[in-house]
Amino acid sequence: MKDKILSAKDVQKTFANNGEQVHVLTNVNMDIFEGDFTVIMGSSGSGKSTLLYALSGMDKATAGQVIYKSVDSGEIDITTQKEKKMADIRTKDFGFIFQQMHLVSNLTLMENVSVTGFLDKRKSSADTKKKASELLDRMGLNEVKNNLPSRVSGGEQQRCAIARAVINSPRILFADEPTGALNRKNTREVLDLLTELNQNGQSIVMVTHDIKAALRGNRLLYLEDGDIVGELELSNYGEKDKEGNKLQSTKAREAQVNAWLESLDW
Amino acid sequence: MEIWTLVKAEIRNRKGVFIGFGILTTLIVVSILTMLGVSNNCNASIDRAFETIDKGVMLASYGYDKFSPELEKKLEENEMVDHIDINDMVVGINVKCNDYEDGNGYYCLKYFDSLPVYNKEENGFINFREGKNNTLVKKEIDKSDYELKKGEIYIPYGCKNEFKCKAGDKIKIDFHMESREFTIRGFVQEPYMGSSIIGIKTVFLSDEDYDYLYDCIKSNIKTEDDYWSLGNIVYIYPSEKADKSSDKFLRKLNLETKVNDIAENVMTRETAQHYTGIFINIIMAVIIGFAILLTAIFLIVAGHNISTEMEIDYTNLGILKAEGFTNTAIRKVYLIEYLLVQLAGIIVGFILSIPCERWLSKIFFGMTAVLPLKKIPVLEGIMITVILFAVTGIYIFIFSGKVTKTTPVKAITKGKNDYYFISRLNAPITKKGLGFTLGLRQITSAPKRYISIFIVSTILIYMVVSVELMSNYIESRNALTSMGEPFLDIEFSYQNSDASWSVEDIENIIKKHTEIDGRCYKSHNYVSINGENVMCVTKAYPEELSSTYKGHEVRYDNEIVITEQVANLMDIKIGDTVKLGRGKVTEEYIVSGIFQTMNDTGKAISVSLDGLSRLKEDPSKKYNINQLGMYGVVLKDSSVAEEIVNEVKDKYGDEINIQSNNYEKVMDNITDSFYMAADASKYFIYILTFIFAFVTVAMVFSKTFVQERTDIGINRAIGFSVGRIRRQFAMRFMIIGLISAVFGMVLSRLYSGQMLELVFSMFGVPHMELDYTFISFIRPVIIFTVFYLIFGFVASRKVKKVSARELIKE
Repeated sequence: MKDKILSAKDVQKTFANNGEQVHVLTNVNMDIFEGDFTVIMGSSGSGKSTLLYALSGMDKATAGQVIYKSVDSGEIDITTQKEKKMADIRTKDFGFIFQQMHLVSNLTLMENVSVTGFLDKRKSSADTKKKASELLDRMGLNEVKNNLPSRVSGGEQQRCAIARAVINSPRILFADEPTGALNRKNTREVLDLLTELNQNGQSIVMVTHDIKAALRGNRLLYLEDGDIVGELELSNYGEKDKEGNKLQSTKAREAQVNAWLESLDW
Repeated sequence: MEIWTLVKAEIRNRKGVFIGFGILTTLIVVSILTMLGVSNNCNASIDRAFETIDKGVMLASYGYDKFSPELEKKLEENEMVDHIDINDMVVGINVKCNDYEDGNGYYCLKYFDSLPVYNKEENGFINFREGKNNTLVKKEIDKSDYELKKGEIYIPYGCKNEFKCKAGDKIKIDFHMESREFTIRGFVQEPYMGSSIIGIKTVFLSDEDYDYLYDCIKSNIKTEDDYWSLGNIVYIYPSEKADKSSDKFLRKLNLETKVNDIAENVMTRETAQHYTGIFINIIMAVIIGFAILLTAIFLIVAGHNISTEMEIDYTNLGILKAEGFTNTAIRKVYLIEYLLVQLAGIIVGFILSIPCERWLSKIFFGMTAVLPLKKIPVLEGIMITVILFAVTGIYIFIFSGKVTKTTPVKAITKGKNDYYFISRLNAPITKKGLGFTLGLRQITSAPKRYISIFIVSTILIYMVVSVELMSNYIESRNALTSMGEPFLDIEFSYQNSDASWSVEDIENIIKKHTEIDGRCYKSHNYVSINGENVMCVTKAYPEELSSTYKGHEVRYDNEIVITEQVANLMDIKIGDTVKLGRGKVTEEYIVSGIFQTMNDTGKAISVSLDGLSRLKEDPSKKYNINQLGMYGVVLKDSSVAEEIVNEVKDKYGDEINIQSNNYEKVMDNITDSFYMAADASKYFIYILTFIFAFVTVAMVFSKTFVQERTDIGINRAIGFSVGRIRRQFAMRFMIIGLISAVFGMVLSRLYSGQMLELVFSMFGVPHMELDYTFISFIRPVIIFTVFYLIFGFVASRKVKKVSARELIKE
């Protein structure tokens, strides 16, 4: 039985648009489990990113609760937390990867990663720098780590953003279309990195509309008109049996996901 | 139409910045127009006051029997003189009212009809009303409404502040052989000596009181020493042949008649105007100088703002060009938006300057004692508008020239990267002091963005350090001595001419308690130097507590020292021979040095006691030390001053005026006013500096905020709290404050002295030895830096509005 670490209860999100109310999330109920690679899919404008921001506390839900099972404070509703507490959660418990990378433009890749690490008071400055260096090395960015974001490719920027998101070993890593702005080669590299992180126990919640990316997840949720309308459980990506054979080939996995999506009129 | 659409959009999008510019313009316009209004109205009201009393252009006072028929004849026959008006006067001394004392001489005259009496509300006169062209016209009212009755007195409005008195209060004046108490009936507008800055005053008595006093005193005049108690006041009216300048008229007239040499005191219309308006003119010079500095700051910020605005809007600029906007049209947009904002600032400034002018005029009214006019400086307002428009227009046109240097494609494709990374400076970022190091990085990675605030801050630091240096200077004992106003631990003077004590007796008592570090025994008289009327400070020990800073102090009886003001006015220098005149005697003296004094705002000379004796009709009868007007000593141990005073009082009782001074209450009237003006300038500059600093910080933040909005969102997403981001901004501005402080301090070390000497020369202090101590620099720097930290924090409250949601792309 997996541990539930995040739950959405009757989450609603409404925006005002020229005096009219637009209900992006109508009534979302869902759980996120520890160690899962959860993928949220849906058509364009279905509210995927809005849901992700509501779950991660980047934005506040209009109504409902988002319960996070914190190690230190037990269950807390992040929709009611004060700004300072949320900043603390973002530093230690949640990591976030944006579609547009969003690296701080006048900091080098190394600094982008280490500044986030510096916010975590549990680690010393030296430990943070060491870990940032290791992470960037692992992401294949050792040679460009002292470059400014504008001097590296989109894939390198996104890998740096992943390093930044995991520098404080968050309990949940949120990713909003992390490959949306990348070419095929970079997409594969980024997805491999996320898969590797998940295989090492990192809980991930990713929003995507790319089936190739969705295949990396072990739990797929489908969002339509602001509500979860479908769920698909898969084996872990690349999981092997005792003999070392893949439990499910990529093709078979793709077919299963396609079929599921077709059943949802995608 | 398309230009107006863009202008409206620009103003809407950057309203924070434009509001800032509007406020800066308003501050500039309010400062200049207020001071111009005050100054114009003050000068016009002094002119009106002279026209109203119709007492010529010169007032000369003479001791009893000094105004001889011979002099009268000379004056009446002189072609420069139209006619003269001779009045008897009674001289009062030791004036006391409401526990305040004034040691100056008071000339008592009979009240005359052309003297306006202030009404109860002090916004007009009982016996005069406003006429056409800002004139005052005599009212057709019963004389009993303002005519003095027995026991009543009219005093100039300038005495009101000095004595903190009102109509109905009692005022006591000592006359020769008797003291009289009068009831203040009201206050009059007397333009010659009514201002609070002028020590000697003319006061007005009822005919009955006057005649009684005159007869009594006259019958009691026994010796030449009693001649001070009566005299004449002569008003001199110029003919058409006289010089238009009353000062030059006096100089020429004195050469031909000795009108000045024989007089105790002469006040020309020009001199009265100079003294009456001196503080207004000094403060106006300081404030207008500062306003010009503010205009320069305004232009620096505007120019920089346009550059960065273009950089931020690089893509939009490209789009506009691609759509077909010409360079001229785009530049017009910049020009119009700034001029519109400036116009709004000017209008608001103009409106605000009206109550400010009224308020300031009311404050200065206590000093000038002349009811200010209420003319609004419309012409000046128009001129300022035209000048500001022209300067800003040219400036913006030049700065917007960058528009022509880019093509549409270049602008669209390059976007912000071009401007964002303009520096390769990499200040390190550390976990310890993360806010500070991140703030420093923001500055080093985009220094161009902070150039304007840096220049502005440097100028402001320079101003603040300068006023701090000024404040420290005027509060130090050495500075007071160098300004010719030494701080004296004990001051004493004769109460009457037949006192039983001598200066030597007092010195002996003092020496029993402590040593005397310096003596300032002096008298103030008026003499002519090459025909010009100046104050003469006669000193018994010129070498002690000397304020001579060039050449040497007076050593022989044929030497004098002069102020720089007199040197410039008379075009004389050290080593020159000059003619001093007093009474019927004229003697030659050699200028031995340049000294400083605030007496008569620096229009003064100084001689030794023997030097003054040479101007006696019988120079063999030299003045002795006991004939001086005031005595003061600096003690080695000032803590015994009170003890000494008590002993002297016990011994000599009412025969002596003696007091000990503590550091806070040393100044006489002139220095009080001097301190007031210096303090007013100091606080004005501090206040304007901080308003300007805040507006500039807010404007720079506003721009930075637009540029860094995404970064702020990212920071919030990775766990920075709002408070932490705001602290980072605050740190950034504090760092700018610190860097500016270094440059401001260097500037100040180089130029503050010269600037302050320029301002202080108006008070008669053209030479200052500033004390450049560490504390005089560090205090304003700390205040300024802390304020920048606070301003940065306050201005960055907008950060609250940016959440990680900024980064959402649905």
